[in-house]
Amino acid sequence: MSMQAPSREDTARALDRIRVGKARHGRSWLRLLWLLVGPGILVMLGENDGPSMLSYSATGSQFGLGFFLPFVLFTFLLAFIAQEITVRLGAVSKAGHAELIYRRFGRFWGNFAMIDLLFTNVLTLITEFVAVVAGASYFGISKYIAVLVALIVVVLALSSRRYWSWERITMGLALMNLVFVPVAFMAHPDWHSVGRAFLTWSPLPNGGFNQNTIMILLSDIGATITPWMLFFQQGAVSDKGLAIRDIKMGRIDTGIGALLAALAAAACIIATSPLFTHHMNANQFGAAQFAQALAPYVGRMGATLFAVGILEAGLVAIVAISTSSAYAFGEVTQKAHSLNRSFREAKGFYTVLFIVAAISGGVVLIPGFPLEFVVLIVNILAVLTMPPAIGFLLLLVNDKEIMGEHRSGWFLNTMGISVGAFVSLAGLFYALTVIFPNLHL
Amino acid sequence: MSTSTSELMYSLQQGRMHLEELHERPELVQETLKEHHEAIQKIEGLGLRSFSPLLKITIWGLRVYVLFMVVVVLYNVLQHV
Repeated sequence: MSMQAPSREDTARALDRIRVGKARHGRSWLRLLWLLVGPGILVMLGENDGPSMLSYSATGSQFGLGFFLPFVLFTFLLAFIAQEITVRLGAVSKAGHAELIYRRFGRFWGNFAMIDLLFTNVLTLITEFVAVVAGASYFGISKYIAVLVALIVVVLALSSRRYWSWERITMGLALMNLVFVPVAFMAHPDWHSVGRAFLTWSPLPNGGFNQNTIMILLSDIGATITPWMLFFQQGAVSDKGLAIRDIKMGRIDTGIGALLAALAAAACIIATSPLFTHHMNANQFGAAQFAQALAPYVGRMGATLFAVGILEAGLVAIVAISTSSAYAFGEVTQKAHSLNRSFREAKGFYTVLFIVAAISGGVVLIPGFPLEFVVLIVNILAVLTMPPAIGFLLLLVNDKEIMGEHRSGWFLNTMGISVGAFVSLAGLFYALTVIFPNLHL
Repeated sequence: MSTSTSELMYSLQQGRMHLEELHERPELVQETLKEHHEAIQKIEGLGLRSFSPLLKITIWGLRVYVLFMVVVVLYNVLQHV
């Protein structure tokens, strides 16, 4: 009896697995690493998005070289701890994050998690288009053309109908996030101060931890840890077809991503620190104004690279965040949801992916829409919706029926609970400074 | 473990394999994705997990936390407008 022809999704995934098998069998570890990296690098560099880079710019320009440089590295360590869990969950269960939440906790709690995700995703996507428009405006490109080109990039990335090709295209684009590194050098910072900041976490912010400092602190946490990252990486790991024995490489992938993203974030703070040194008030700056204001200190080329970096940050995040929404939609509705499927096979998946991006892009074009309002709250909202997301994450990874021997041990659980506690406490400090504005911590 | 066996088995294939060629080999696809399909079957067979009272209090607590924080953010934004 002849077997039924496999689906395109299965064939593509099997081809990727055979390549991995060959590399492993031939002990070509570099080739194996090349084949297995992707979700971790993408999620970390994808999270260095428009509002995140804006948050780092505000940090550098308002506080200079000090406490926030090592703090940002610390937030990426927290992100690594959370994202490592999604690697194990995806590789063991081969299911997405939304699917596992619905299956194990039911529709009631699943709907809450989805509302959090879609609410923060749509708001974040709007700010990504704001970043693209702001970056493009530096080059005199109209906002209509900028939004249109961003949507074309999304379609082009999807047109390969292969997870592998989509991942490589998006990863290539994401690596451009490192453009902030040369800008940091062009700013000619005092490297002694940079080194001292990393070693001593000082100087502390001027005026102590008041409301403004806590907002920046929370915004920088939100720039590295958000709910969409959990849904995206677990979805990407299962779509890529990572097996249990690939978990180690998945961790390395996530570690490389965290290091690269931390490097770009620190570079952005260093690049904008001359604005602090020269006492420029950057409180109300948008992305384009940062690039223009930096020109006297980093030169024309530096300012141009800075604008390119902001534009790229928004563009990559548009692709990654709309994909995370589409993965979650497909998992919840139990419809086909793989980048290895053609448009005909996964109409709902691709339609949701594109429509979420198009609506968010359209909002940016509405005259008088309070974009500053959205940019202001998006990172903060992302942090504040994290505690329940981390709660579900820890419950899932400790679920014996799902994870078996791969569930977290005491050490990983301690780390995971610490991340949840830290994020929750940061939110509470923020609430205290809002309710009692004169409070100094 | 099934994956290691299948990967080892098909790693012996010589030359570059293409999508169209693999599409004609359903048994190869099935064997390679054995771990994947078994995991999906296992997950599909799972029911709802039971909630202990402590767990219920914790997740309700986290939900109330989010709702409270959304109100705080709105209040903060209104202060700045």
